[in-house]
Amino acid sequence: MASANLPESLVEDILSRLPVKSLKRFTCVNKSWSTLFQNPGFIAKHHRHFSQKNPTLLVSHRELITKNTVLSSHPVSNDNGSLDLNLETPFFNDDMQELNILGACINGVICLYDRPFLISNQHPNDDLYRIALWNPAIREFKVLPTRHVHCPSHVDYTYEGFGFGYDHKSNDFKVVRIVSFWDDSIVGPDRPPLVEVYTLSTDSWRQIDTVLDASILSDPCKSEIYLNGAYHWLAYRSEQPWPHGDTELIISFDMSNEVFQIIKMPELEDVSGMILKNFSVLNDCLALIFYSAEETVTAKNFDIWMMYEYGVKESWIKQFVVGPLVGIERPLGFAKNGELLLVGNNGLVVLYNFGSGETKKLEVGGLPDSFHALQTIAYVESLVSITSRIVFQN
Amino acid sequence: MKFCAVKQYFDDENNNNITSGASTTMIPLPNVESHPLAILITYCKKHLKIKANNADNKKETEKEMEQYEQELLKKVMPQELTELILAANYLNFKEALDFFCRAVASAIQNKSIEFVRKFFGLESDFELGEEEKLREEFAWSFEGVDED
Repeated sequence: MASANLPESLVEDILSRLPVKSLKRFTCVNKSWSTLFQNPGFIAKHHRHFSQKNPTLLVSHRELITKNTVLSSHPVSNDNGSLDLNLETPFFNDDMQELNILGACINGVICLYDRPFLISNQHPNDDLYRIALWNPAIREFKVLPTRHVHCPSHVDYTYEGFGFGYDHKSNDFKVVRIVSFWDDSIVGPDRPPLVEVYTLSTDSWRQIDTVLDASILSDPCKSEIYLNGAYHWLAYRSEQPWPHGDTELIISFDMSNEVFQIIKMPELEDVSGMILKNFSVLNDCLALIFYSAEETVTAKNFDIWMMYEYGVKESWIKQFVVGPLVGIERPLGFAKNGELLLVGNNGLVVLYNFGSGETKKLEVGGLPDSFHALQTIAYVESLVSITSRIVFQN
Repeated sequence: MKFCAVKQYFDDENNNNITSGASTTMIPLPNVESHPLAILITYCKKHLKIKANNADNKKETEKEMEQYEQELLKKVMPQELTELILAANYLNFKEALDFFCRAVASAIQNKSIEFVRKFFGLESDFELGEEEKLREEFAWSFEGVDED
């Protein structure tokens, strides 16, 4: 079936529309195609094409007893997802270890954080805290080198938080780690938290000198997001002197400048009863979903606040009130198309559409009931190679 | 005007102040065969018509275009797609170029290496054993490929 030969630029255009699986196979066509698929410009063009479509939704599910985690993928066209075996993480997943996704999928790369379920109050076992960068589309992963914490034996420490992001100035993936210390024997100021950054290009950790004067409520499943090149955590600061309570706030870490910043929370009007919150992103704005923690509540209402001007406290607006919704355990966050994702009491993901007010369950074929949905992220595949550190060209 | 190359021709004509009966002007298109040109003209007319019918409703336009495109693809042979791409490229007809490139991508997505080589007129230039090594490394990408 010979046909008139197309010029290179048109062949490239066609190839940039193919899914990664096809391109990996076509690496065997000839040398120039093989080289093309490693070209940063082509990789960027290909990723841009796929970024324009609706992303696939990835959902992590955790088994109640063993804490094992699996991922399911839900392409936009299907209402029913499948337990995509190709998404089986090729590393970690020991019993009693919790596998979490840090933040967002960036340029087709996902960062996984594995930590022990039972958190020791003394010196943690550093080897049980593992981070890996993973590109599921090309089946490539890299486990980060362990960075041990060195401190005197009378000082206790804890891994306060991790963050994953991309430095667009140096075209590099980075992971930030915050370790906090406490020493019961000392009266006076505590040892400051230790902040370290891992960069993929150097494949190493380094300590950075930066001020962090708040405590992070680390929970990758509900209180961390990635936006505008910065990783954000929900945090709090104890107001001195006692008896002033803690002030809640948001801490961000900019991946390029490597500095922390504080973003203020909205002022809630009615603060009766215990309020829970979920941190998410909606229409490229920081979003907070507040809901009541009262156990007697069978139908829940969710207040959704959005920060229209990034960093400006006055720009927080209570944009939506959703509910009452029945049978919902908690919110998960927003899908790229603006639907609200929640977990039902049975552990399944529920999608809420603002326009129609309807909810839809996301079934996962082959998933046992003992697995409950934990996190969701929008996933767009790419050819970005972590192991060959092929730099993504913007 | 969608056929940017043709528009360019008219613009050039006006610049040269040549008076002519526009309806009988002959525009030379040496690089386009009549068959793909006919298809492109039909595609263009259809696109303009659907756009006009659906005035402000972009979603409806997209939906109707998609339906038309699906029907069109059923009538076009894969070999013709290459000619159509070349014609659309020469005429600088962006929407059609985008559509036909998408169509080719869709057509070859699940095909074997041999099929793709034939389609693009390419040959393997790997050293002995290099290709086997790659095939082994990416064995997973060969799962579920269409039979030739």
